[in-house]
This record gives sequence, structure tokens and C-alpha cells, in this order.
Amino acid sequence: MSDILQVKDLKVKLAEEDTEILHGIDLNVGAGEVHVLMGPNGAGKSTLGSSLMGDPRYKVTGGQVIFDGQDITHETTDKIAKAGIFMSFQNPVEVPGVSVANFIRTACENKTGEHIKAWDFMKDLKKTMKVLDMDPSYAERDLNVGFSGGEKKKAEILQLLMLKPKLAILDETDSGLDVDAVRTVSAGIEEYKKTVGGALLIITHATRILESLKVDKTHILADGRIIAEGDASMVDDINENGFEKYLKEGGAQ
Amino acid sequence: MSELKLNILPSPTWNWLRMNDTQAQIKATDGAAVPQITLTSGVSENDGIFPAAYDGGIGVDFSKFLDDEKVGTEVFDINGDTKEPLKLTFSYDSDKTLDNRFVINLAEAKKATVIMNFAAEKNAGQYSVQTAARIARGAELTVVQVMRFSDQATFLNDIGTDIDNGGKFNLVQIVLGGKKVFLGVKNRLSGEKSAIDMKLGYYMTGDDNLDVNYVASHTGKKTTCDIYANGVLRDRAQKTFRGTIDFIKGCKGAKGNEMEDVLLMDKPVRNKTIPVILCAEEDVEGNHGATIGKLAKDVLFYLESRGMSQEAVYEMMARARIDAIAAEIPDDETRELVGKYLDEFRR
Amino acid sequence: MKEKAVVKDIDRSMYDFRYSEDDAYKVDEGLTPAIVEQISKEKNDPDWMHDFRLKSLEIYNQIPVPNWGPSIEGLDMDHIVTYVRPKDNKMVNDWDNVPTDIKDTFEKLGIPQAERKSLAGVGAQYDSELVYHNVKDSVAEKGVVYTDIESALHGPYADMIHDHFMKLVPPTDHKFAALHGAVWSGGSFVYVPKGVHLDFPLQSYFRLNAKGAGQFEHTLIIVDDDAYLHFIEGCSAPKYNVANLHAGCVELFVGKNATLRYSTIENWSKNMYNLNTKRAKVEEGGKVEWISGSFGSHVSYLYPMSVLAGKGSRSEFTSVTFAGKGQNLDTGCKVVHAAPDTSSYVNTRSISKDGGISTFRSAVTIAENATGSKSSVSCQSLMLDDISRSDTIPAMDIRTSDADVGHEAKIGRISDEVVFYLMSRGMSEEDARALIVSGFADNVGKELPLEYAVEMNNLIQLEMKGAIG
Repeated sequence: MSDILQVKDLKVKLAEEDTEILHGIDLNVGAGEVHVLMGPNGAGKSTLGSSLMGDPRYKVTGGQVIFDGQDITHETTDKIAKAGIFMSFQNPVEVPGVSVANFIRTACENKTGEHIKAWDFMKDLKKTMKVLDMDPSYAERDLNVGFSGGEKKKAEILQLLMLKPKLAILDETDSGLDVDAVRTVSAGIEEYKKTVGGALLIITHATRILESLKVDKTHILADGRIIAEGDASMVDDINENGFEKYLKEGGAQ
Repeated sequence: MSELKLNILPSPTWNWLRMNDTQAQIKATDGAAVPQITLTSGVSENDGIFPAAYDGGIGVDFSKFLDDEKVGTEVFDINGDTKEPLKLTFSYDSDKTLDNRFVINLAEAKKATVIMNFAAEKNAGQYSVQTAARIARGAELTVVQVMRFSDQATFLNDIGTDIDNGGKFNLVQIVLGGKKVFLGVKNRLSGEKSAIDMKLGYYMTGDDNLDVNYVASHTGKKTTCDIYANGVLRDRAQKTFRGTIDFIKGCKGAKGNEMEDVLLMDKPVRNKTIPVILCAEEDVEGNHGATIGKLAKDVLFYLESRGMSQEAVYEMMARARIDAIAAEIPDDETRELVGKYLDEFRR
Repeated sequence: MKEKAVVKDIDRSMYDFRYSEDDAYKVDEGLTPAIVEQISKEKNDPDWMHDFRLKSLEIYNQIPVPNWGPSIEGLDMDHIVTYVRPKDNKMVNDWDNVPTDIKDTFEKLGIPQAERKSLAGVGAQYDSELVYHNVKDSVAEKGVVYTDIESALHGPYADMIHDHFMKLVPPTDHKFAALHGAVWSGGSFVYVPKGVHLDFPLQSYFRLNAKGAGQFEHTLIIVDDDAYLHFIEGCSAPKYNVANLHAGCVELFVGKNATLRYSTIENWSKNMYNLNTKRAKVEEGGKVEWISGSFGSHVSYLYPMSVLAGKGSRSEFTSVTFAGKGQNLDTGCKVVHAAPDTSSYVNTRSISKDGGISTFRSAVTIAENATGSKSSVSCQSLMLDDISRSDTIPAMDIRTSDADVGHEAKIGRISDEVVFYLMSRGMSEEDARALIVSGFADNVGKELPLEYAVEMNNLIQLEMKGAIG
């Protein structure tokens, strides 16, 4: 049994209202695999990503999430992250007063519980920023404050590369980016595969970000349910023919 | 022991708010503390006399009390170019009542930095320092004060400035703890185009109490003031921040900005804020803003998603606030000292 | 460039007319137990009210005048007439039976027309007594009560008055609350039963005609659970050379999930000392909305207060204050968050002109138990010349970390660029400045029913240009 993530019949509602969004999700991701989660707007894709991360805006009402053999269904966000899940946010929040470098160093120290020498850390950080074509001056800027959409996404991937999680959930990391930025972000994701070898759950509309990756499995989410699953070819099929076929077969319409 | 009204709000409001002033029992002096002084080129040091019934930020009552106590005064005349900051380091190591007064005269077009460190990490005395600064035409004075006090120590820190044409006063104050810390600063912007920039960072924990009264009195034309306070309250700590921008008739073209951010970390903290703008001149611009509260939920979630516990996030955000103010200190050694204090401060 | 258009003296004739007070019944000037006894007898008080008045007088004599705020030295209590009953006073509900000169007064002010057009009911007070009160039949049928307090004290709602009268604003609150408790007269009692939603506002209008007199009306409004009411209050007085005093008291009780909107356009004459106290207590899920325009009076102390007593209750306060020549208007609000998840929103504008002084004063308190509460305060001030004054004194006392408090204040003047831009489109400087000031006061204007918004705009035009045009 090599599944790093097992989601079993997961039911999720909004924390403040009695609206169920996910109606029993089953989804397994093997260690080191690349999974793609697609589906129409409002299907619940981001909700799934966020609830796996323990977002307080949502409440799990049923089912189970097992990560790396550990039940994390009701775990706090920091414990989930420490266990090895990373999520790249669709809209990363601005954190005034905390620089990118200071923040990532603190997060790395928190993860390992060990002190990291400032000089070693900066060398590592600058090297990684280079992969992402980020100007070194960003290290000293306040986290996400005044960053453009592309810069914010790069900063997310920078954190991914520095924190080296076992599973990375990328929530619409490619949305709103121009071709060059997508290429840079893709290069970052390749680097993650190559150096860390972790698993990926990629939430996306588009396929450009997938071009350089070998996709192991595709899941289609509609109306809070997984309605179809398949291999990499499914991505191309959806690209050409849209979701219609799957929505009909899955009985979502 | 005398009961004095300290940090008096220039324009009083409802008494039930208890923000118009703070009444405190002030002890008679046991003498002056002996600071370690690092003089620099261009500065001369002499004994002198403090202006009588001085109108500083803490108030005339307090000045008269020190007058009556005959607290000695040291005068720094800065007439030359200074390469290094003038440094005064106070390590209070007794539980006595120690009072010091300083006059700083900065000559025309000169630039100087004065760094004052105050620490009583174990002792439980009452300490005070009063500084009167005269900034001549086109001169620029930067004063940095780092205050590190135990939960037993009381500290009164009073400043007054008189700024001539084109003169500038920069103040960075960092307060880390203290049973009762009073900061009072009154700036008389009487010279045309005179300016002040005041920054306050504080981190109060336990039953600490910080009581602040900042006043910018604009009489000169085209005078400017920027006041920024950024602090953290933990446990049961209390803080009162009074900030007054007073545009006096005739100060045409004056501008004043005041901003306060307060991070409230634990339920029982208490924060009082009263930002006042008084205005008797049409041709001015005044702004004030304040944000007071706990860390936003989305920020907390984002940072926790990177594997930091809530406590670690709070610690980082708290520190970031002080670091942001400390970054304004133009002296590596002093910045490092603040960093060291903050490391020790971590629980 | 900096030359300002000369502003003419303001023509206030539409408010400044006055009628003879020869036949009116008055008590003697000043304030003594004998005078309070006399008022109490005149008004046929129940015993408890008689005792309440005398107790309030004692408290009045003990409390000092405020040591903050505008000077009230010009107010000589020994010469204020605390009770003036209009001649032939008899409260009527038929407009035709109102005495002629009083009727003329209110007709000039447009009161009965307004009632016919768009109000659910109207009350009109002339000096110390209510002279007219009427509620539409359809409103009365829903069980809505709108009457004068004196009648209510002797009718089926006597107990309700006894249980609420000056409970929210006790005479011990401040000196003028105590004065009010001693000599109050007139005012309105409104009760909106559970679940009743009034589609049209109720209005009361206060007119102080007598010279050197005080008006001390009491407004008590109880909006029961799930009900809705919009209450509008208007005030005016002609100008005399001696000081007049207004020390009214408004107590509002807003039930669970109920909403009360309380709108005021105050235009007292500029010899008036307006020391008015207004307070609302809001229960769970309820909301109070204060809309306030202060234009008149010589000196004002006015800070409507919201006590957010129930979980999730809310307060909104929207105001504009215009201080012109000889005016010292100290206005603002107080909010006490005393329950979890409460919220308050404050948006104020002050304008100072011709030597006028306006002060915005506020206090927001978030109590230890008011977790999850939010408060947002925004105040803007406009200085129209360099002989005026504008102060902003907002206080915040936050006693829990689980709160979210924001505050912003701005002070400035009309930008020369904007005036130039408008003038380049053919407007006179005077018109351009008046337009900008009207726009500045729009936070209140857009919350008022149309005819009141028009009246407010007229008042601004009067202040800016000396005439309506």
C-alpha cells in the first residue's frame, strides 16, 4: 500500500452555514504520483484542496482523510503542513512586516525544529529563486505585499521548493498568468518533482501547466462529487471536447 | 511621594473614559543614574540648568516636580560634525528612584544621532529621564531610545523639542516591557518647514502597562509630522496611546499624519487609543488611521498551512512589528541589541 | 487665486418668524423646588413622577457642569423659563382645532403637508406642550401607539412608561439629564408591537417660540421584537437676543431582531443651547440607525449613544454637522459593545465656516465579553476658511483581543483644483463651493427621505450662499 493520500467518503460543509459542498469524495494519490483535478466552476475543487489543508471556513461532517498513514481529518492546519502537505493558494494573502526570507526560514525551522544558519539559508534561497527567475530583492520584500499575480504564484512555488513537502496541492496556480510566467512556474514544479520527488494534486482549468509533467491520473469533480476518473488522456479529451460528456455520464446534469 | 497628573491630553474629553490624563504616585528622587556615555566628535558635555517649568509631553506638573527635586542637568552642545552617534547607556541596577535631565542643543545645519538605551531587567525602581532638545535652523536630530524593563520597574521618559526653520527631529522609541512606562513627547514645530518623524514600537506582556502622550504642535508654515505606532499586547498588558496633531492658526501648508496598529494577542489585554486632530487653520491636511485587533483569520490559516503553530505565527507577527520599527535605527549595534532582547523575550 | 467670494449674511427668515407669547402661561424664571412642584402640579403628575422630579432637581444641584467641551457660561439657569404652556392649550388630533398662530407656525414649516404626503403620523410640540398629535387609522389598527407622554402616563401604558422612563438615561448621567428629569414636559411615546413593520415614518416636530425659555421634551420609543420603525425628529426656533435652552431626552428600546431608524434634522436658532441626550439600547439581532444633521444652535452637546446589549446587535451612525458664525457644535456618538458579535459603523462629516467651531467627539468601548465584535469609525472634516476651527477627538477602549476595530479621520479644505475645474465648466466660485459642500454632506443626504434631504440641502445652500437658490 503506497498511497500517500487517501480520501474516503469526505463530506464538507461551510463552517458558518448548513450548505454541504462536498458530498462524499473518494480519492487516492500514490506516493510521487501526479494527479489532476478538473471540473466546471463551482464544482468544489478549491473546497476540496482547502479542506484537506484544514481551512477553518469549512467543516468536515463525514468521512476520513489519511495522509502518510496518519488520520488528519480533524487535525489543525499547522499539523497537516508539518505532516507534509503543502497547498499553493489561489489567492495568497499579504503579510505586511514579514519578509519572504524571514518567513520561509522561520517556516523551515518550524518544520524541522532545527536552527538554520542564516548564511546557508540565504544561499539556498537565492539559488532556488534563480530557478524561478525571481529577482533576489524579493527575498527582503514583505511576503506577497504589492506582488503582482505572477509574483505571488512564484512566491508560492518558492515556498514549495524550500519546504519540500510529500504532497503539493496546487490550487489554480496557473490561472491568470501569462505564457512566460506559466513556463517559469512549470519549471519550478518540474524542479520539485526532480529534487523532492513528492506527489502532486493539481487543480486546474488549463493544461499548459501539465505539458511537461507525466500525469498519472485525472479526476473530474462536478457538483461536489467525483464523476469520472481516468488516465492522462482524459486531460486531452476534456481539452478538446469539454466536460459535457462526463457530466452526462456522471448524472450531474 | 506626590500624586501627579501625567500625560495630559491637550483637549480633554469625557472623564469616565479615564484618558484625559493618568494620575500616578511619583517618588522623590534618590539622585541621578550614572549612564555610560560614548562621546563623539563635535559634541561637548557640560553641567547646566534645565528650563524651569518645562512643557514636555508628560506635562508641566512633572517638570515642576523635577525642578523642586533639583535633579541635575547635563547639556550636550553639538556644534561640530558628528561621525558616530552619541551614546548614553543606562543600566539601572538598584531599586532606588533615579532621575536624569538632559539638554541637547544642535547647532545650525548640523546632523546628529543620539542613542539612549535604558534597561532595568531585574530591578524594581522608579527611573526617569527628561530631555529638552533645541534644533536650530536646518539641523537634523535623530534620537533612538530602547527601553527594556522588568515587570517591577516604573519608567518616565519625557521629551520636548523646539524646532527652528527647516529643522528636523526623528525619534525611534522601542519599549519592551515595564510595570508602568510613561512616554511623553511634545514637539513645537515653530520654524517654517520644520518636521518631525516619530516611530514607536512596543511589546508588552504580563501585567505591563504603557502610557503614551505624543503631541505635535504646528505653529510654523509648511510644517510636517508623521507619527507611527506599531505594537503588541499580550497576556493582560494594557496600553493607552494619546496622539495629538495640533494645527495652530497660521501654520499654512502644514501636514500631519498619524497611524497606529495594535496587535491584540490574548483576550484580557486592554487597549485605549485616542488620536486627536485639533485644527484652527484652513490650509492643512491631517490624517489619522488606526487598526486594532487580533490577527486576521485568513492570514493565520495561510501561515499555519506552512506548518507553523498558532503560537509560532503570533510570535513571528509580533516580532515583525518590532523589527519594522527597529529597522529605522541607524546603528547596527543598537539594532542587534533589540534583536537580542526579542530573542530573550520569546516564551 | 485665494480670493474668496464674499458670503452675505444668511437669510433665515423662513425659520425666524415668531408669534406673540402674551397669553401663554409661564412659570417664573429659574429653578427651585417650588417651580418644579408647580410644573408637576400643572401636569397632574402621578406621585412617582412628582418624586422623580424633585429627586432629579437634587441631583442637578450636586453635579458640576462638564469640564470639557464648549463653554456654557452664557447660559444663566436663573433666567431660563422652564415651562411655557401655549395659550388655550389642549392637545388635539384635528389640525383645524390648533390655535391659529401656532397653526400658522407649523404650516410655514411645512408640517401638515408632510403628514398628508408621506408620514404615518405626526406630533407637534409648541414650547412645552404638545399641541397636535395624529396617527393614520391604518397604523393605529396595527396596535401602534403614538401619543404624548403625559397622556400615556395616565392611560393603559402607564406601567410601560414607569418601567422605561429615564432608565436608559438616568438623571445621574450628567447635569442636564438631571435638569431634564426635574422639568421635562411634552414629547412623544411610541410603541410598535411585535412584528409590526411601519412602511412610512412617524414624525415629531419641536418648535420653541417663547423667549428665554427651555424645552425639555422626552421621547420614549419602544420597538418590540421583529418590528420596524423610522422616526423623524425636526426642531426649530426663532432667534431672540437671550439664550434659549433645549435639554431634551430620547430613549429608544429596540427589541430582538427589530430595527429603529431615528432621523433628525436640527435647526435650532443660533441662540440655543442644545444639550440633548439620546440613547438606544439594542437587543439580540436588533439594529439602531441614527441619521443626524446638526445645523442650528449656538452651542450643542450631542452624542447619541448605542448600547449594544444583545448578541449580534448593530448600530449605524451617520451624521453631518455644519458650524457657522457664532456656533460651537460639539457632536459625535458613543457606542458600547456589551455583547458578542456586535458591530458598529460610524460615518461623520463636519464643516466649519465663518468662525464656527465644530468638534467631532466619540467613544467606542468594546467590553470584555463582546468577543467577535467589529467597529469602524470614519470622520471627515472640512475647513472652509482660516477663522474657523475643527477638532476631532475619537476615543477607543478595547477590552478584548477578539475584536476588529478600524478608525480613520481626515481633515482638509476644498481643493483649489476642484473649484477651478467646476469654474472652468461655467460655475461661479460660490456655486462651486456650495456644490462641493453639498456633496461632502451626502452621507446623510442620501439616507434621508427626499423632502428632508431637500430641506437639508437648502440649509447648506443657506449657510454657503446666504440664500436658497
